[in-house]
Amino acid sequence: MIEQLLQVQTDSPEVAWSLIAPLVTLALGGILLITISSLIPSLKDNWFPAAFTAGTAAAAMVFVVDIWDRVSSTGPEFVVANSMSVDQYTVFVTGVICISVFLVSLLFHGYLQREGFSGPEWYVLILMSASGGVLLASAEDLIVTFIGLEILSIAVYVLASLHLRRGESQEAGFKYFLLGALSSALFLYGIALTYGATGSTRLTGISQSGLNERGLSPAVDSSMILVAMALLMVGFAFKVSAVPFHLWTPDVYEGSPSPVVAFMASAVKVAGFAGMLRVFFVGFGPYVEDWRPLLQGLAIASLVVGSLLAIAQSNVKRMLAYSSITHAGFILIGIYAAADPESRSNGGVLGAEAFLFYLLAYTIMVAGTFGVITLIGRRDDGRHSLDDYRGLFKSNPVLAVLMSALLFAQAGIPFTSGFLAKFRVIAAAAQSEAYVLAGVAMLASVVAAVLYLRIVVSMFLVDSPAEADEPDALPSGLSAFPLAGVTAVAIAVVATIALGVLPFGQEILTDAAEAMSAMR
Amino acid sequence: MIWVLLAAHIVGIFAASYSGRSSMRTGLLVAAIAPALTTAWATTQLLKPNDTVYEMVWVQGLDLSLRFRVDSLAILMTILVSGIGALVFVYASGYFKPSADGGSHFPASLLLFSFSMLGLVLADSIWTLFIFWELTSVSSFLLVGFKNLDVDVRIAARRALLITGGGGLALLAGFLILADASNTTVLSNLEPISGPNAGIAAALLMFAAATKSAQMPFHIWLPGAMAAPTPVSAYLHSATMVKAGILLLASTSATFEDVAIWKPLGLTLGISTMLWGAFGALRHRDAKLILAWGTISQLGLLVTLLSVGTPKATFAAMSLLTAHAVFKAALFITVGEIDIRTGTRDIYELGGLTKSMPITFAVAAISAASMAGVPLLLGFAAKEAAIEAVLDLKGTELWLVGGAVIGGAVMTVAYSLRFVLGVFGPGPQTSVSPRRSAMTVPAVALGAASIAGYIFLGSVNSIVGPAVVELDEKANVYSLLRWPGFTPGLLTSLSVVIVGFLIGYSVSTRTEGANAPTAIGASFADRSINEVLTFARELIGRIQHGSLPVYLATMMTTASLAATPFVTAIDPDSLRRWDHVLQIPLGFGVVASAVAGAFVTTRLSAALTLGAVGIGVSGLFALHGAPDLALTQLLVETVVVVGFVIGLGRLSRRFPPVGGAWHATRMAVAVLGGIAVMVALIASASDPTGLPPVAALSEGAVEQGGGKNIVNVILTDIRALDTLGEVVVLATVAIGIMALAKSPKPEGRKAAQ
Amino acid sequence: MSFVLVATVGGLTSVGIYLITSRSLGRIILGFALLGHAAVLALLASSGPAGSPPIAGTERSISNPLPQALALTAIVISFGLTLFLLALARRQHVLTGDDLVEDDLEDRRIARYDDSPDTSIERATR
Repeated sequence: MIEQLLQVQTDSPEVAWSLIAPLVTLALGGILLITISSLIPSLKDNWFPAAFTAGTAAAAMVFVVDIWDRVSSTGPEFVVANSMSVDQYTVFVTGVICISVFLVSLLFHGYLQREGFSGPEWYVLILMSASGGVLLASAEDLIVTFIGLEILSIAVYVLASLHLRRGESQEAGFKYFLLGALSSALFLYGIALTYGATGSTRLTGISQSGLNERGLSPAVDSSMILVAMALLMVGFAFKVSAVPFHLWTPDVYEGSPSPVVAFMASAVKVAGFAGMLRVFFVGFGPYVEDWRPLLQGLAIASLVVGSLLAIAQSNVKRMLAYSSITHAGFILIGIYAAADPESRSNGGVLGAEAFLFYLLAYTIMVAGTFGVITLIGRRDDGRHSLDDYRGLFKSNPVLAVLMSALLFAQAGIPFTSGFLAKFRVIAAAAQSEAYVLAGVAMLASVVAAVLYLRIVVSMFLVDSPAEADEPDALPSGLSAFPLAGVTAVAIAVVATIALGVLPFGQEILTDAAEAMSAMR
Repeated sequence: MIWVLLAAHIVGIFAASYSGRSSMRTGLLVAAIAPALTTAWATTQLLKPNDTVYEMVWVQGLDLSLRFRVDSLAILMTILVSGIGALVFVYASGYFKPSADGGSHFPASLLLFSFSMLGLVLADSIWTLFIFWELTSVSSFLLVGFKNLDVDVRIAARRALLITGGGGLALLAGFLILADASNTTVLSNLEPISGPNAGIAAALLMFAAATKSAQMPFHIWLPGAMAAPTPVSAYLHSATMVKAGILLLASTSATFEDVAIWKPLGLTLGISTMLWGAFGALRHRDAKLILAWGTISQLGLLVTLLSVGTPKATFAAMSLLTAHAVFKAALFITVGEIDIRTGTRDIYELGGLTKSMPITFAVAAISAASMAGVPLLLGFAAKEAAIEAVLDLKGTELWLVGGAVIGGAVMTVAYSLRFVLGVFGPGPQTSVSPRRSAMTVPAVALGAASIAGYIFLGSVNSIVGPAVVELDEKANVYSLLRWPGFTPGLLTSLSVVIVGFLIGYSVSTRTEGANAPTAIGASFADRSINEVLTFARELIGRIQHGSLPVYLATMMTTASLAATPFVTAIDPDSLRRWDHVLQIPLGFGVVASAVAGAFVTTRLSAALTLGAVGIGVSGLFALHGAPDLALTQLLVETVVVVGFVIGLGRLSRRFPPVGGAWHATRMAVAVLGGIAVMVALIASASDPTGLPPVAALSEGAVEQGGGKNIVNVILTDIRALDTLGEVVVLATVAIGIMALAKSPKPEGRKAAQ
Repeated sequence: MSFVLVATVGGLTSVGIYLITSRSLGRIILGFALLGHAAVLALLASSGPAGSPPIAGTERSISNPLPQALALTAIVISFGLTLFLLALARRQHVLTGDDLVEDDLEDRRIARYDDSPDTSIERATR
């Protein structure tokens, strides 16, 4: 430990800033934004914060592209005293997080205006949270992982409670916070046990000691490391809302401001999965046979519970909350397949590709879906029952078609990114001979399809009872909605269909997947 | 060219949706363009030798690609799908009022289906086939479920979706195994496979085909789907979609010829479906349902023939498939017209339409005769081929299959006659609204096709023949015969017609006041679905109780139990009683204040006990040799207590009371948690892995951090990144508190800060 | 390890858990603060024997500085979070007039749906 600590000391002056540029851009962007807005208050209430945030995400994306090229030639780079690593996997995930920030910042703009909230805090918190996510995805040390997790989460706890007029929002924030804090505590407990068992918090150090253990060193207490892994897994499972750590999800999704849910369901989940994968691949690679069953259990439970509970709901936000649980199950299968010890020998990075593609596709479609929900929620963000979607096609055909496309994608209908994502996952599972998982996933996807089609059907139903004389009836025509929000949704739809139809980007995916597999 | 045609469909979907907004009719006619173009193209390809492959790769590693193949079979199916499609669009433009609701999505959905079906029949990769298979399920759900607000219709649509969706799963699973076993995903390259996996794959594909092609017991979705508008029934539920399963069986039967269960499974499904379907057609009195059950029966016959597997039977199956698509679409179309013009489809209320609807009657009579296998029609030639094929069988198979097919054929004649007599025969003179030519033209075209098919049997042979050869090369010796001569086959078919006619005539009596027959099986399926939903709701009640305290208690208990393994690791020797005797009063004071805080009833005293705990803890820090901690703790505690008073001071002063049973649970969880933490702590002390590297840290601090206060050096130098992270956390919290303090209500004051 | 310290940690944890499973936000925050204290004390307890303050160059045996550094961090973070919770509770009070955490009843409502099962789910779409 001390050697490593001193290592930090000697190396720390050399920070390869260019390699952590996206992280720095996101964090500095947040600080700059709040500074500028407090110096020039007139900028607070117009387009500036949204444009600035979207611009920051775009700038980070530019760095992402640049770094991609760089690490493609040099291989993984370790930065900030080896406490973070930058490889194609990290860069890919960073890119996905940036996409989420970009879309969500567009959604925020119209939302804040409609709800009458001002101020840059919302945007700043998104940027902070995203920087935490990037840190989480690249952390090579459990302490750094923990800090990333906390930065990621705390900003979202705050965001969840920021709808100042809705009591539900405060409660969502409160619940999310308390349960999250507890899961963080369990995570810390896991770190402590890991340190106790292996004498290191550094991921490579942990896996070294694991190798020793396999190589007959009795010093490592294996029951301790099992409990440690379980606790760390709980911490991540909470963030990605995998069953049975999903309990907060429907309540929090329902209560939180809709665009914040878009962020929670996309970037937060992506970062959670990315962190989980890195910790377990790099740190606990030698114990893969021990933690893979955990993944399997989480995946099956998430698929079954998520899809079953979703179909009985009548609130769209809750439905999608449960559906996000089902998606988490799919992504877990991707990790499960990617972690297959056999998969390297038969040359497959299919699981890794499936995982990464799912993250990308899911981020875009879920941000878009909650984007539509944001637009439809009406003032006070409380109109989310299925009834509120009835007849949407009549009053707003474009919006209804966009939403249908996104829901079709979530259902995994062909020619959307959702189909390819699910197909890749199931094919990868079959290749790893995880037939039970593949079977459960297929069943869950049929049940889930019924759910999404229910929403689609109610949008296309012709009549809309008692809608006409309601004071806050949904405005008809696209121009009634904020341009930025509609743009975000449109971008999401175009990307969702493009990813589902055009066969591009396969090399990027393969490279990232190989980097991911190489971590083990 | 295929890409262009598929693209034309997609463009058509948008164009139809747009133009349909003003008028349903325009939308339908716009939608008809793409299928019409496709039919025209396919017709030009008819007599050329064709074997072109079009491929677009999606994912190399998975062999996931869009791969289409234009061969004789594909051309035949394309003509059926797009030709009938174009006619149905025209028909629908008469069926619906121009101002009908749903113009912006119905034509588009129907064209989406047409597109999916086209892709399905052209597919040459199992994944392409799967993709379009799923799309047909979805688009048919949209077509059936969209119609209206009727709960029963939507329940029927849900049933159809779940059954065909389940079939889609089986297809995916079967294809995954098939691809693995045969090392290719190209349909035309599939080789016969064997082994246990092959059996599973065969069963899965058979199941998939059975759901799509309405085989017993999965046929129950088809009658329910009759709630859809008639153009949909004519197109999806008779001519095309239900044939997808047949096509799947046809194109994979060579692959599974060595699999033992393939044939018996197919024969069981096929024969039972054929007979049960025919029985259903004799039972029902809704003309459309009669046709639907007839379709089920015919599909059973097709499955039977394909399962027999001889080249001759395959040839017969494909001929029948073609003939069936023509006559059944025509029949549905006439029923739709009757429905629109008379307002009923009940054969007990219909009658005497021969005069008022002569054209419709002619089309219906010809098509029904073709279905019954009456000579001089296309249906006769095809039925003849089927009977010849089963009479060629030997032994038990002859008796079993032959008997069933002949029995089925008799019943087919019977229900065909019952249909014609019931709708057009003597009975109440139903009043009729004027004819719409958009409905008549397609009907006449399809009706005429049954006659023309027989007259130009040579052309039919030159289309169907090569198509069957794609499936089974040995089938090239067979052709449809205009007149087979007095063979046993012909004698059999003639006697079938006569017997069937007699039976049909005798069952065509009206029973006044009889209730419509109930759907057997469908209600069972719906009940099962509802069971699942009820279960889901109960599950929700169990899991998602929505109570934060319960969530927290559950998590705490789980975490506490995670500590149990450490009980064994406890080493009592590692414990001292105390480090410093002053720890005892301080520790006692801390815990006592905390307990007091838990039970005081006013918020102010709670805040004060918190302060007491904080002071006690900083005392413990000081005793332990951690003055930095002690100082920070004191400072922080002061702010928190002040914050507590400011933040909650305006709340009603007393805490609310707490109820009984829950109170005890909380106590138990709390005690368990406390014990667990103690166990874990002691156990960690018993395992001295992380010995404090005090000396090294001390040196490091001076040499490299340039400071003597080691704690500070660690924070600012050695683990600076962590500290930076903590600063960010604090900043985030500060921003949050700031944002929360902004009050939407004027009376709000600045928050606790 | 000092048993007194361990017992103090256990006691604080118990009371903290008891409090955070309450319905009143004020008590939950109190419990949260107590758990924070417990965590810091636990870090201290596991840092080894007490000693003199960790100043380099001191001759006597000093206490282990690394856990102290972590503990300092823990104090500061739990301080921030407690204040945030207080702000939330205050906002809740402004909105609802009290500080009770309500159960989210949506799912229980669905579970109780006592319509006839045949159509209730479809009716739910109305």
